Formats: sequence, structure tokens, C-alpha cells
Amino acid sequence: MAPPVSAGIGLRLPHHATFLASKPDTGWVEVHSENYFSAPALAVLTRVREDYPVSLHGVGLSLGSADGVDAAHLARLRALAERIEPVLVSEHLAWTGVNGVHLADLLPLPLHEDSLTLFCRNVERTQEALKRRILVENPSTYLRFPESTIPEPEFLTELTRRTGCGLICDINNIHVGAHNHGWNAHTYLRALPAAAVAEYHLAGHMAGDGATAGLLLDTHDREIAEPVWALFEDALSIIGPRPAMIERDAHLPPLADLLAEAWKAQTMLERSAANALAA
Amino acid sequence: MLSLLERQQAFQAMLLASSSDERQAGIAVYRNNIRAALTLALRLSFPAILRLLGEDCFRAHAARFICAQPPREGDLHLYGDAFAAALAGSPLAAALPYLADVARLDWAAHRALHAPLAALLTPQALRAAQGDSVFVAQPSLSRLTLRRDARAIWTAVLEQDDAALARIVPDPGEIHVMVMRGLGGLEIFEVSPEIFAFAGALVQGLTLEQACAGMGDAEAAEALGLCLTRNLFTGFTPTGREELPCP
Repeated sequence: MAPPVSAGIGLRLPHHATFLASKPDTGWVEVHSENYFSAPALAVLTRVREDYPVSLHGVGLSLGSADGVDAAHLARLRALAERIEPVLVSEHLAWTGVNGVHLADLLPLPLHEDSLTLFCRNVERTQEALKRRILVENPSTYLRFPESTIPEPEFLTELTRRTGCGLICDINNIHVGAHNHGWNAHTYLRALPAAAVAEYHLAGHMAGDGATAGLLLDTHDREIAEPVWALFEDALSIIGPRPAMIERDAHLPPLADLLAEAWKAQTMLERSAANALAA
Repeated sequence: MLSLLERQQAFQAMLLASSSDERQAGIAVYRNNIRAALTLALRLSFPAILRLLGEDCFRAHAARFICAQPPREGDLHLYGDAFAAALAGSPLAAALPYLADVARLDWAAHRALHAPLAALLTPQALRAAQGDSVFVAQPSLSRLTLRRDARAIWTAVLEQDDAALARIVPDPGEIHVMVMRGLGGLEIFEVSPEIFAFAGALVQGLTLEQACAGMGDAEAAEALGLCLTRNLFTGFTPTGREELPCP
């Protein structure tokens, strides 16, 4: 089962009450898996699941850790997935720590054959544990390692070929990465395996200052910028319409504002689908 | 070329160092993100400590704690169990002797609110218990021995009752407190040293007969009665088995 090819929103804790009370017209919702490992939040998500398809988006499984996937974390994710029966389960091309440490951030992975082999192994282990295909998201990154030998879209392509996993194409992360590393965002989009892309993410970013001056930061704390909407339009032409998710994690606006952004994405998805039919 | 593990170990150490070369903007982004996420996790788990210390002082102590004891779990609800001990060992502890105990109350309350609400002990389970059966505690239960003034300070700070806070007289005398998640939400109640020890013996896996050793019948009945009426336990497991299946 997949979510409808429609726009959904990232559901965050401060919106729980409003969401449950108003049951807004949105195609589906996505939540951060780790926020629902504890009992009270899980009870809310169970109620949401009665009315909406739910996607579980993880930030703590650390698929890129050289010392492997944390078995306890994977067990909690499996228990959550069995309870919620999500339409999608996803994680990131990233790691969060090694030697038993979890740093609560999506850290950049050196991209070479050894890390690809390791990442594939961890994805396969996760898919076996969950008994389902997962999606892996292209990350926002702020530095590159000199030992990296494989461009990110090629790494993701080979990952999908070897493991059968799908991809989340995060449009904002591509925009941020293109600025930070001098990539061409359209070349990146064309290099992704379109058939493996099962979801889009859209979010806001900001320009760094002080110690982070010169970088774009994937902050999820504001409206989606116009260049990101434009890149989404391009992605719809290159890859095609897929379920699209509006992500906001800080400075949360009223739920209605998020739904308005989702409606804009929905309109673009419908136009793309109509264009594809007409072609 | 560095192996992946060597690269990740070196990168992680750089991110956790108390100071580093911030001229690399990329490193600064990750260091800022980590510090912000983990400080937020601690802020949410230690609301009374945050209010007692104020924003800047809390951030400074959180930063030291994050570098010294980063999370060992991907679930940040579980991060912070050692923060009270870190505060107890900080220079602040001399000036604020109740601080670590307030932090322990914060943590116990946080832990209780995020624990599953387990089934209550049923009369059927009681009837089925054998002499060697061992009580299974509520997963949300914490047993704390605290300075008497710490509980009053914790309550006044969270209620933002400055007048009550000003009236609190320093009192290093010990109290024994149970913290758990009940049907109506967070429950915190004080018990006698005898009941505290009795409940602790049951929590630690002693049988009822062992927990009652040295107690008079009336005293044991009172202690057991309180444990049952307060729903401290969810069921039994025979001695030698680690735990019951999840209720």
C-alpha cells in the first residue's frame, strides 16, 4: 500500500489537538518515528491513523553507522510499524553516531564503495526486520569528505539497485546541497532513478551567518522558498508526480498555514498529472 | 585513506570536543545542530531545573553534559538520566544543595509521563500468585529519596509560585517519594521509610515473604495495602523468570 499521489503534511506534537479536532482535508500525514516510541504520543498517533494514511519517517536509525544498526532502536521501530501499519517507512542517507553514541543529527556520510556496501547491508537488515521496503532520503549536507568517490545521486541509484529500497527526493535538500557544494540541481534530479522515487519532501531553509556564513541551512523553520517550488516543478517534469510532504519542525505556524502550503503542492501535483495524461 | 569507522570516530570526536576549529562552516553547522537538539531534549525533560538556573546557566551546564555524556539511544526521550548526577558534581551543588534532587524529580516525572500505562493488578492475578511469585512494577515507577526542601522547591518552581518559593525553609532532612504515571496522570506521593523499603524489596524481585521479613503483621499489611491501592504493581512472575509478557 502506498499513500495517495497527493500532498500531505508533517504532523508535529503542537498540532495534535487541532488536527484531531478539525480532521483537516489532507491526503496523508508523516511523523518522525522516534517521537512515537513513547506511550502518550503513540496513543494520539493511533487515533490519527483511524482517519489518515500515516508515513513513519525516522531520524535515528543511523543506517550509515560503521558499527551497524542499533538492534534496540530497530525493534522499537518494528513495534511501532506493526501498531500503526504505515503506508511508508523512511530514513536518511546519513549516520547519527558510532560506538554506541547517538548525536541527534543527520551526519554526512563519505560516499565510496565501502560505505555503499555498509549502507546497503544496513538497509537490507532494516527491510528484513520490518518485512517491507523502506525509502531513503537524500540528505542536506554542509561538507564533503576528500575520500568520497561516488556522486550522491549515483550512490542513491546503486543503493536502490542493490537493496530494492525506494527514495524520498527532498527538493529543499537538493537546493541546499547545490548551493553548498556547487552542484547543478537539475543534473542531480536527472541522475536519480525516477522509478525508485516514491515521495517528495518540501521544506524551508535559511542562509547561515557567523560561523556558518556562506551556507544554506535546511532548517524546516519557515515557508518553502520560491526557488524550491520552482525546483519542485522541474522535478515533477523530470521524475513525475509522487506523494509530496510539507515539512516544518521549528517555528511552527498555525496548522492552516501548513495546509495552505500542502494545497499549493497538491495543485502542482494535479497539474503535473494532467500534463502527463495530455502528453 | 581512513576507513569508514575511523572517519566516523574522528568526526564524532570533533563534534563532541568542548572547543574546535569553527572556521570550517560545515563543522559549525553540525555542532550547532547537535547542541540545539540535545539542549532542547534536556530542556523538555528538566523544566524545573531550567527555571531554577535560567536560560544561560542551563545552556552552559547542558553543553558540558552533552560533550561528556552524549546520548546512547536514538530515542531522545531516554536522554538525560545522568544529568542529575552531573549537576550533583558541578560547582553549583555547593550553593544549591537541593539542585540535584530537583533534577531527579524532573527526570522521574519525565520518565513516568513517557512510560506505557500498564494494566492494573487484578484480583485474578492476586489469587493465582504463588509463594515464590515476584511482583512486576509499573514501568513508570521511580522511587526517590530526596531532601525535604527539594520537593517543595520543585512544585513551587513548576507552578511559578514565587511566594511559595520564598517561604520554603532549607531542610536537608530525607523524604521518600514514589513517582509514577497513574490513570489520572502524574502521581507523586510520600511514603514512610518502612513502606519505601518494602516496596523497594518487591521492585527488586524479592518475594512477598522475603520483603516482609522483620516486619510485624500490621506493618506488613499496611505496606502491602498501600502498594495495592496505589497500583504500584501490574502482575506477577514466578521466581527465576525475568519478566511477564507485556500486559
